[in-house]
Amino acid sequence: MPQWTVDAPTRLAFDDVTALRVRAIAGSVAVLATGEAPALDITSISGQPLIVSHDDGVLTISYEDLTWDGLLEWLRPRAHAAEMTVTVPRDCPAQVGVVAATAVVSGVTARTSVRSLSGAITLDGLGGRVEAHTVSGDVEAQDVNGQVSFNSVSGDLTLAGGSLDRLEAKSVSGSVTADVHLGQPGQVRVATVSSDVALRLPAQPDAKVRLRSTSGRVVSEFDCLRSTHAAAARSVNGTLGAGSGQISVTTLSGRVTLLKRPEPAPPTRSDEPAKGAETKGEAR
Amino acid sequence: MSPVFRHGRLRLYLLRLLDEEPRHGYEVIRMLRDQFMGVYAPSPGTIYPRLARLEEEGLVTHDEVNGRKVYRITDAGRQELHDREDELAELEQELSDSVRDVVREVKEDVRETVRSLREELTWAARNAHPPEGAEEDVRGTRRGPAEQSRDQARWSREDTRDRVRQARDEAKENARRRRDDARGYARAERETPPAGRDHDWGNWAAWADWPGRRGFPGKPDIRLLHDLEHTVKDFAREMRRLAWQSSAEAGEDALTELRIILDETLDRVRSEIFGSEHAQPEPPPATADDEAAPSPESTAPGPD
Repeated sequence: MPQWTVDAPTRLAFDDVTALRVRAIAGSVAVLATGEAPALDITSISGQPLIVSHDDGVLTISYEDLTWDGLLEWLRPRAHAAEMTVTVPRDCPAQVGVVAATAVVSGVTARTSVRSLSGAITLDGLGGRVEAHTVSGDVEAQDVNGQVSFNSVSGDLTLAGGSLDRLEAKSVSGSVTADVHLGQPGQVRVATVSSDVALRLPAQPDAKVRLRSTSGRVVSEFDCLRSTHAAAARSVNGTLGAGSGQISVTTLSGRVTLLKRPEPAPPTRSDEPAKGAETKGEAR
Repeated sequence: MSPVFRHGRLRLYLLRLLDEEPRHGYEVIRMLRDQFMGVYAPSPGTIYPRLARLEEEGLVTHDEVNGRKVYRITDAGRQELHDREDELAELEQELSDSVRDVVREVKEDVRETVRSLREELTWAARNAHPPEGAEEDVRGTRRGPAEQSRDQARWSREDTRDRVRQARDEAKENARRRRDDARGYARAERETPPAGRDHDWGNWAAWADWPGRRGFPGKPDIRLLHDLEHTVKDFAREMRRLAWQSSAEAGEDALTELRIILDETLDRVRSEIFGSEHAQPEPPPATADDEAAPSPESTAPGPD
């Protein structure tokens, strides 16, 4: 089994990478899925050396004695920093665990799992099952398709664009903001304690809807949804379209907003926010 | 168009690609595009003339396969690669640098998209109105008035107890959470420099700076102040009702806890909502209606 101990900037090329596992403390990890030959490019490293192994197609980049479960035990992240870029084939599943390092994953169509303690996670153009778990790191994603599972204590999740069959998001105080298409049928389940949830969907979704907040404001822009308001909770319930999918949002004190994307579906990027979703939809 | 390849480097890179294996022209284009994550996408008009030039120089040749040209490197081409080995190593380094640029671009691109989406959705969420007729009190079902009031009476009897219990549990949870929140918030305020807080939705004061907000809804007017007053009155009424309904259980502890919550709430209202230079106006009327919860019939399921 080829193995390298890396303590200086290094570039390694590989014939074939069928799975990727990266564990890092501080610095940055970028995983780019391309059609090029797989390669690992470590551009800076300080502290303990990285151990790189390539075993039967599985590329593992980690520190000695740093097991997956023990990842969060490393409490002095600054001492061990590395900046690395890994290029892998598009269908290569990627598992990335970082403490304070930032992580970027782009283009992977297989399963992607990213865990972070405080490092921010950036996801771009993914297509498989995506898991992102953080303690306080934010997750920012663009054009992620398929299934997304997000778990965080205080990190925010933002999903811009993409079409999801399934979105599961749980957080204590991290907000959840998503502007997505729903698959057929699509499932959205979001639960937070104190943070706000804002979902924007195409004008004709097909789902049973259940939005509920104990003490926050709950608003939906869709017709056919009934808003109820009692001392113990505010909620919006109902069925959109045929109701084959499911949208469920529960929060204790956060606000819940379900927005309708103005037609025609606008591109998700713009340099300035719209000056009025209802009145100037075409501006987007 | 490309900052990626300096003069002559694309030619060298084409030779390298063909050295790996014979390829179609379009395959070469696809590989270049993949290499640069789509950031550098050479057009056929860039690649084919260069391949033709390489062929004129005798460095590559082509075979016709199914009517398409498959280019492959010649011995002369390999010699050229060998002679320029140093340059090739340098090129590899540049390519790895440009991949890092791609990483940075991906990051910035996503960040920008995400930021503008958050601004937009936050703005939209603040101004969202439920469609006409969707707002309805929980007991205001669309049935005959008699049936409705019968249901309502039964509903009140059966559920008041549960609801009170639930509300109390939730209030306790709220109390705990708000204490934690307030502590966390105070900590965050101490620790976080102002610039790092763009992502905090709870930080109302920061909303004042968002472009979408400017000019809306203008100066606080008398109507908004009235709405605020209503909101506060409703809050007091709701509180009185809860206290009245759960009078058996509400003891000294509960009151102390409540006082802490209310003090902290007031502090947060003071600092987060009214504290900033850009005074944060009350939410638009829809919110106030939303807040003005109990319609007359729902406020009176008390013991009387």
